[in-house]
Amino acid sequence: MIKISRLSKNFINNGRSVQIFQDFNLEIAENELLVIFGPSGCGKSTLLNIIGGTEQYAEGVIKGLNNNKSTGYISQRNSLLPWLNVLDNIAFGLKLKGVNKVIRQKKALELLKEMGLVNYSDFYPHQLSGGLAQIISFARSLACKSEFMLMDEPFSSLDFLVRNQLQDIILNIRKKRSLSIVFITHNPDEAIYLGDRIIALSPNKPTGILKEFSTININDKESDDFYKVRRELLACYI
Amino acid sequence: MKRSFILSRLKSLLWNNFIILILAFCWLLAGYLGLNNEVFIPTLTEVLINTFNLLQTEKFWGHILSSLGVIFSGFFLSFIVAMPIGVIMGSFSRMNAALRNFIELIRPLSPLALYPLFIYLFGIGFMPKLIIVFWVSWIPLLFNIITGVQRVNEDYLRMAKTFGATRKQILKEIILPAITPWIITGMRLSIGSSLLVIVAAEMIGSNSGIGFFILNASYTFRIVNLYSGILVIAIIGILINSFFLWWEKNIKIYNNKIKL
Repeated sequence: MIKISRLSKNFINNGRSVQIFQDFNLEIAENELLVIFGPSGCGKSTLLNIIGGTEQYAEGVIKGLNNNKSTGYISQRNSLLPWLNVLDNIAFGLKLKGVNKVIRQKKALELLKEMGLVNYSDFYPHQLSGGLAQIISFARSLACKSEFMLMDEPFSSLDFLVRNQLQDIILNIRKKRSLSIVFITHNPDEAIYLGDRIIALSPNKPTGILKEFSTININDKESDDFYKVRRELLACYI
Repeated sequence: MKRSFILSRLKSLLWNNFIILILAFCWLLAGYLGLNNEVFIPTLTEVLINTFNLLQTEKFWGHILSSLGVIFSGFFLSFIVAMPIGVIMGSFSRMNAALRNFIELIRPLSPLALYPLFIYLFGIGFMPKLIIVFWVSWIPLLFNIITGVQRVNEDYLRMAKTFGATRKQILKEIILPAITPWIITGMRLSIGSSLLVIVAAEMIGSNSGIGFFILNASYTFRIVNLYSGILVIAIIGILINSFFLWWEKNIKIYNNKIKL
């Protein structure tokens, strides 16, 4: 479990200090898919970067992230390295961990086979569609056996159909592996469909949690529960 | 298929060199019609034959290799100096601020104005020429490296950090590959300036090189040799530039559509 306690963070904007978080608390359970929902500029990505250890914070304690090396990060723009082909991109995290080239390429190939994408192993990122590039980014994190995944609006630039396919891929992979995910999205349907729990962040500074929703048992996009949560979630901002 | 490919290549080659071909034709025609002043402007055929003959001599090759040796040595030196400084300045804004003013101060200084000083310090020969080539080539390279490092996609860095990459790994696996196109463009700009300055430097204080050969030809009134020297410089410039353009293009193939 990851526990964030009394987190404080401020930015200097045009010489003025803006307090993003003050005494912010959050818990993320093992194997949980936590969705962070909120309007632009409320601090969702900042929170994700703080959890991922790529952004500093002024005060607070983050417990449970004792092994930062098992964290995967997927952003809105694919972060596949353009000078590496798909196979080497998937194996990249393993390379950083010092895994032998033969072993890491074998593991990457196994993952590609599992996802049915083995034909793309020699492709370069610019030859892939946006959706495929995001799947490869996801595979790269899985190759490293990342047990904790940070996803910053990973599907926001994709069309409706591809987005749905990728959502199902994530849900399928979660069934097979032990994986905690913090997922940022603007899309209420995506939040409810994917999330075990949703936290709705406030638009005002310092950012706080407006409301929490448990969506672990909502798997049907047409169900009454789905629409009920959707209404309540949107009502937080109207 | 193959024939049409050759034809299209031939067409583009002709079109790309259209102006050069027109000028060469005019020169050839002027020589044929006797319109040129033979004392100062030999015919194109004369220049080509003379250049061909010169290229058979060891002495002329000695001048060419001397110039190329200085260019590549100075260029190598500038690469060794610009690389670490560029990466540091691009990575750390404080270092950038601290060094930027000093570099902006020395940047506009004409290398040819400093050349007599270099001759005083190092004597006539290889060293002052090396320093002058270094002087003109390291700054364009440096600025390109700084810009390249500053423009490395933040997402690549964040991704590597979340995988637990060390600073050394980030440098080797992310920054260096990402700035490769910038380095190659910087190299192309640098080597172009090196070629310009080395000829001038060899004319001022030197006992070898193409610049020295051209000056010597003018002093001894061997005008055809002067033209041959200029022609060889132009050919060297075209070859070097074409190589870097080809390299740039090939590197950009895998960086296509990616903002680096």
